[in-house]
Order: sequence, then structure tokens, then C-alpha cells
Amino acid sequence: MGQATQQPATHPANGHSHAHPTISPATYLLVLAALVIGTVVTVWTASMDLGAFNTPVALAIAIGKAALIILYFMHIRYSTWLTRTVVIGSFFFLIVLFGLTFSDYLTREKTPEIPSLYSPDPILKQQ
Amino acid sequence: MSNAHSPVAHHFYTIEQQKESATIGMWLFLATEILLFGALFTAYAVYRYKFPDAFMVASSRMDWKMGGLNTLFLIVSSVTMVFAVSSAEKGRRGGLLGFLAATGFFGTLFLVVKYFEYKHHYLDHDVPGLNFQWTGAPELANGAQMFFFLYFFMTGLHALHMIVGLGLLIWIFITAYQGKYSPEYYNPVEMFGLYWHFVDLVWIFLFPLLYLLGAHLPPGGGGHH
Amino acid sequence: MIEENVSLPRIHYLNSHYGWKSWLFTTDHKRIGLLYMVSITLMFFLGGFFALLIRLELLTPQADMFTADTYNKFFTLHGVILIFFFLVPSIPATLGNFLIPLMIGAKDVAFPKLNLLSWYIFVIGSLFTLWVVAVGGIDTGWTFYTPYSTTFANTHVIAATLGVFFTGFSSILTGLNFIVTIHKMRAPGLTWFRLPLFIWSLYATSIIQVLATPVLGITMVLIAAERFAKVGIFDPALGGDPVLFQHMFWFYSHPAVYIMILPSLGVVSELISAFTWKRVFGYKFVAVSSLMIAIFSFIVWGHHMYVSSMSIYAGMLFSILSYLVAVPSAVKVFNWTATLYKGSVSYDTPMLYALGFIGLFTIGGLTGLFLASMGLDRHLHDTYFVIAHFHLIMVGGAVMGYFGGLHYWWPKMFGRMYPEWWGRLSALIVFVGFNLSFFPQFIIGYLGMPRRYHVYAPEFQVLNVMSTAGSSILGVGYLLPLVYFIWSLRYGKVASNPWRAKGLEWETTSPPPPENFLEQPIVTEEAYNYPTRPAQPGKQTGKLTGGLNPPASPTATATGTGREAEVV
Repeated sequence: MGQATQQPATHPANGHSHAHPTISPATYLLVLAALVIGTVVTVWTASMDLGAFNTPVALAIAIGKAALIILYFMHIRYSTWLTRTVVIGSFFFLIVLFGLTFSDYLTREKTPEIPSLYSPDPILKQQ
Repeated sequence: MSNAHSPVAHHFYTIEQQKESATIGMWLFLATEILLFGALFTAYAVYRYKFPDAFMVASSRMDWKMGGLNTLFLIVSSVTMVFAVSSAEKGRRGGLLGFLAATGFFGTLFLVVKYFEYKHHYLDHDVPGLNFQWTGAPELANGAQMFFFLYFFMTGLHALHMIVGLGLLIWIFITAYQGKYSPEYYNPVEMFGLYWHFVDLVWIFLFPLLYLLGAHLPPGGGGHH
Repeated sequence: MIEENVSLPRIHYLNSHYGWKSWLFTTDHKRIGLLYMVSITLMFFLGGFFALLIRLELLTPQADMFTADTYNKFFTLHGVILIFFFLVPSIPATLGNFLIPLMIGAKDVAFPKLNLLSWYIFVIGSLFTLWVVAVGGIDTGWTFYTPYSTTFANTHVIAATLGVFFTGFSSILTGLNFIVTIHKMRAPGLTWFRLPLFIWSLYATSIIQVLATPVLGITMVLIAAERFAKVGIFDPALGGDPVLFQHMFWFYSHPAVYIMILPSLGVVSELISAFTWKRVFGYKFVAVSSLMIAIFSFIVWGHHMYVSSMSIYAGMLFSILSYLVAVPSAVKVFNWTATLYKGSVSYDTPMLYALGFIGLFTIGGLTGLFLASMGLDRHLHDTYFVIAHFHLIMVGGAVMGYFGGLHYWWPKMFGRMYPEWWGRLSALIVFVGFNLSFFPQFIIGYLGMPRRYHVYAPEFQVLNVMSTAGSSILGVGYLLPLVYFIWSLRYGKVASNPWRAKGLEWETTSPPPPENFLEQPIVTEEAYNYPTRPAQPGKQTGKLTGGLNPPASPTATATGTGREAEVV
């Protein structure tokens, strides 16, 4: 085998390569409380008819809960820029999937009937 | 050179390099899961846009209490999981094993509730492809079937991830029992925790979007439960 | 090119362990790269066989060899096999697996066992697909458009879609592995802007593989579910929207075409540099252009759907974005051209492929701009113009890049040279055959011949015959390397670095030892650190005059977590 290289003579005292503060149990329990409250609020607001606002409210709470889990339970709050880029990047492209797909659906009814230069297009005429 | 007892694999130079690589690797895997479930959420959004009323009425056939209970089960299991990782970090084997067991317990409860939910839907003829019968307004039938297809497909995929998660948890439990983890090396526990939290995350979005759309409708408004 | 006194190293990765178990249970990235090479070569010739059948039928305007259903199966299988089982894995899984750790001075990829798993997934997916072919195949087109695939097709759609879903994990695992490897396992001193451009392009490819493939996977499962359960997710009769399928399908499949071309773009950068003995002009622009291609590739998919009844406003948006995505590709071509200028060009086989690539990729890319225009696409969609466009890029581009890379790194992988004369001859045969095969298709497409039909109007026959003749020549050009590469394994001239190329991979033995480097390399130079020639006023001889080494650049600041700068 090659003599590759310089290994550290001993294992480091702890497994952390960069100082990331250990999150205290109290913080975790606070997040738990927030998540439970968020769930209760979601159900409560869903039982009221807020018209078009039902969905945005529910989604906003869900996003808030997700953010707490990602930041604190999954430790993104104290992670490297690379890990954060992976997380943000994946959500970014998911939004691209949503957004550009809906750029189609939201503008479909607006598609005008285009008069043809030749004989009228039978399919268009049906609209 | 790593020795036979060192947890550092031969192609890494230090345990930090290995741990950082594993962390990025796990997050990249979670990125694929975000896109996997995300595509389904996109399909859901499109059809909800197309069939707003049918989705609302069909959703009122869901038992939001069971869904809410499951949400709480998963949230609690996520908390027990972070405490498990924390115990591993501090070298507390007892705590690690206990919290892992608790996580598994709540995860199993989730699946039990899910089983009963699916069973009720089956008995109520809500299962597309199997026995779907729509007794509500006929113009909502297509949309309702679409809703239920998405419900079963998305929660089914989620449940599959839960089952795999429980399997992995058993493996982590066994290796923890064998004393493989220490404050210097507990990364597999943390990586598993990331997966578990992700599965919880998906449910946090599934719950309001599937269970609560019809919650503001008057009782008996379209569904019967 | 001629090396004196070269002999094979005593121990290298090929002879260090023997027996089938040492191959099938290997975790050595180099062996896994070769395992992939064997698998994808088999799939390459299978997909090419279906191409032959297609072209045979198209010799005459009538249907005289096959029925419509059978013909539909041929073009479907041609596409499915060559896209999912050849083009997507080709360079990343073979050359990428072999070279990435070597090029960055690492001992292996980050997750060697996942690497082996990805090969097994590929093999199982391939065998499953072969079974599907054997029991009757599918006829939906590789694009699986609904509602035909979900409601009306009578072929093995469920099996095929699940096979594609399963095989997608091979691609995801490869991409995941490469991203972590490139971030975390570079040798000390190897900062991002000292990486070879091949690494940059594979990094960009891996990003696409990780993010896009899951969407394809779940879409395939949805087709299987709809077919199995007869629910209406994409069926208009039950309220479903077939165009939603197309959105989800193309969200992957457009970035997928960049998965297929980016690695070749990286290979060409390496080849142009090595065979002009010059660093790549505008290195940073070329490096960043790979990332730009990867990012932009995700926002243009609707250009496949202009005539699908998608909203024309969405079409306009996708059209503008599609014009944008051409820019980073053009950046590469311009920089290669600038690299060639006043370079010391040698016309070895890999360079012939690289030069062919530049010309054909440019034409293919420019014809993409025709198709990006909604107005033109109205006429060109689903005609042979589209087929010619993507074959120019995929075959004239990606496959030529793959062949160029194979020839270039063959001595690295096996310590032996292929016969150069045969190599050049094959490259020329490929070039001639390719052009004869696909140029006529632009014309017949423009004149209106639709794709995926086994019959056509008689006035297109002459050009179709030319195309078939060309494809036969192309086939010969592909078979020759198969023969001489295998021959060279035993009888080829021993070689170590016949190109005198720069790069970390060339600084270890050929073939490399199992652990790649006997001592971990420490990088202090820029990539492609070829000596420059002092300026000669007046007379341009184009010859190397034993120039000076360029002044050492200031040490680039390390990016990332700081690991790269430390000596471990």
C-alpha cells in the first residue's frame, strides 16, 4: 500500500471539525412547543372560512414549522455554507418547477384565438 | 493510515473529512427527496387549481383528527430523535437507546393510525382503482377521484419512507446497543436523524394540504364521516 | 507521441487482484469505471442495432419491411436504450469514475460502495429493459406521452417505466458521489480554479443528475400507477391533463440533454488543451459556463411543448429563456477557438474527434435556436429537423466527445496505445458517415417529413437513402474501435503519457496503482500549465521554442471549508 500520508497522530478529542455550538435541550423543547402550537393554529384557522386566505395561511404556518425543523433539528442554523446551498438550491429548483409549470396554467385562459391566414382552424374555432 | 479499529474509511484522511463528506452526501440525498415529493406537490397544486371545489369536498371526507394526531406523533418523534443524537454526542448510550426507542414508538404509532385511516377509506369506497364510488355531486367526481389518487399516492409514498426509516432505525439501534457510537464517532445517528426529520417535514406539508381543505365547510357539506 | 523506454508498472489496479470476485465486489473507482464501460458498450450497440432497423425501413417510402407497430417499437427502444442506458451514464460513469479521483489527487470517490451499487442498479435496470425488449418492447416513443402510454398502448409500458425509474437511481448516486468527492477530496493546493475543466463539467453534470432525475422517476411511477389502477391522472377523459405529464417529463428530460453533453464539453476542453499544448483560453469563463449551463438547463423545458396546447405566454417565456441557455455553450466554443489559435496543433485521433465535435456541436446548437423560436417550431416540431438537431449534438457532439476521451485516456487506463492509424481512419469514417447520415435529415425535416413514421412521401426518398448510407458508414466507424481497442489490450504499444499532457492524472503510472498515488500530491500550479512561447515579432513559426514557464500565479485563496489549503 502506498505510504500516503500524514495522518493525525491521535483522533481529535471531539468529532466536531468546526465549532458548532451544541443546541441546548431547552431550545429543542421550545421548538417542540412552537411546532405543536403551529399545528393547533393550522387546524383552528382551517376551520374558519377565510376565503382565498385559507391556503396561504396554512402554507405559511407549514413553512414556518419546516424552517424550525430544518434550522434547529437538522442543525442548518450552524452548518456550513455548502450544506445551506444544497438545501436552498433544492428548494429553489422546486420553486422553478412550480413556477414555470404554473406560468402555463395561469395564462391558459388568456390565450387568444389566433385568426389563421388560411382557412379557419377547426380546433381553434371550437373554443 | 487508519487501523482496523478506526472508523475512518481507507480513502479518507481524517474523520472530519469523512464526517463532512457523509453530511453533504446525506443532504444531497435529501435534495433528491425534496424534488421527488416536490413533483407530486406540483401535480397536487395543478389539480387543486383545476378542481378547487372537488378538492375541498373530497378533503372533508378525511379525518383531520387522525391526521392531526399523526402530525403530533411525528413532531414528538422528531424531538426524541434530536435528543437521541444529543445523547450520542455526549456519549450517553442509555439516553441514545431510550430516545431511539421512543422515536420508533411514535413512528410506529403513526403507521398504525395510517392503517386505520386507509381501512376506513377503503370501507367508504374512496380508493381509486380499487373501489372508488363518488356519491356526492356528479360534476365533482373526476376532481374527487384525482384528490383521492393524490392522497393515497403521496401518503403512501410517505408511509413507505416511514417504513424504511423504521428499518434503518432498528439498524441504528442495534449498532448503538453494540456500543459502536461515541462522542468521537456518532455521525450515522445524526445522518439517520436528518432522514427522519425530512420524513416529518413532508408530513407537515401533507397534513394541511390533504386533510384541512374542507375543514371550514359546514358539517355534512359534501362528505360523510 | 513517441515515448522511449516505457514499461508497464509492476503492480497496478488491473493486476493487483484477480478473479471474478475482485471485479464484481470491487470498490475501486477505476474498476467500476471499466465495469460501466463494458455495460454501456453493450447497450450502445443494441441501441445502434435498432437504428439500423429504422434506417433500413426508411430506404423506401412504403412500409415494406415492418408494420407500423413494430416500427414504433424500434424508434422507442432506440431512444430509451441510447438515452437512459448509454448517453446519460456514458462519460460520467466510465471516464468520470476512472478519472475524477486521479485528477484531484484522491484515493477514491467519496462513497466507493455506493459507486458499486450504482453499477449494480444500472446492470439490473439494463437486464430488465432487455427483458422488456425480448417480450415485445414498447411503442410509446421514449417520451412516453400520455394518454397514449397510459390508456391506449398495448405494450409493456408499466415494466418499461418502472425500469427507467429504477435505473435513474444509478444516475443519482453517481452524481451525488461526484459532488461530494469534488468538494471534499481534492489534494492540498487544488483550489477550485486550478481544477481541470473536465472536473468542472462533471460537477455541473452531477448537479443536474441529483436534482432532475427524481422528478423523472416519480413521473414514471405515476404512469405505471395510472396504467395499473386506471385512474385519470393524465387522462383527459377523467379530468387529467396530458400536458402536466409533459411538464413533469421535460423538467427532467431537458436538463437530461445537458447531462448528456456537459461531460463531452469537458472532455473537449481537455483535448483542445492537450493537443494544442496550450492552456485553455478564458479558463474561468469556461469553468463557470458549465455551471451556468447546468442552472439554465432547468428553466427552458417548455420549448418541447410549444405545440402541446400549453399557453403561448408560457411559450414566450420559455422561448426567451431558451435563447439564453445557448450563451454559455457558445462561450465554450469561442474559448476553444481562441485556444486553437497559435497553438501547436497535432492531429492525433482524440484531436480529430475534438475538432469534429466543435464543428458539429456548433451546427447542432445553432439549429437549436431555430427550434427555440415558437414561430419556426410550429413548422419544425415533430419533423426530421428536430431529429437532425439532437443527433448533431448527441452523436456529433456527445458520442464524439466520448470517443475522443476514450482514445485520449486509453493509455492512462491500460498502459497501452491503440493503433493510431486505425484510430484516425475510424475518426474520419465516423465524421463522413455522420454527416452523410444527418445533414439530409435537416433538409427533409425542413421540407416537412414528420418523425416517427415508417412511411413518407416519395419525394423524400433520395435524401433518406443518403441518410441510410451514411448511417451504415457510421456503424463501421463505431465497430472499428471496438476491434482495435480490444486488440490493443494485449498487443498495443506500451505507453505512459504519449501526449506529454499536463494533469494530475498523468503524474501517476499508467495504469495507475490501486491507491492512485504512492504519495498524496500537493498542487502548486494552475491547470494546463504548459510552457508558453515567448512572443516572436514578425515571424510566426507556430513551433515551440522551449519557452519559459509562465510566472507562478499568486496562490488562489482557497474556497470551501479550508481543507484544500492545508497539508494533511
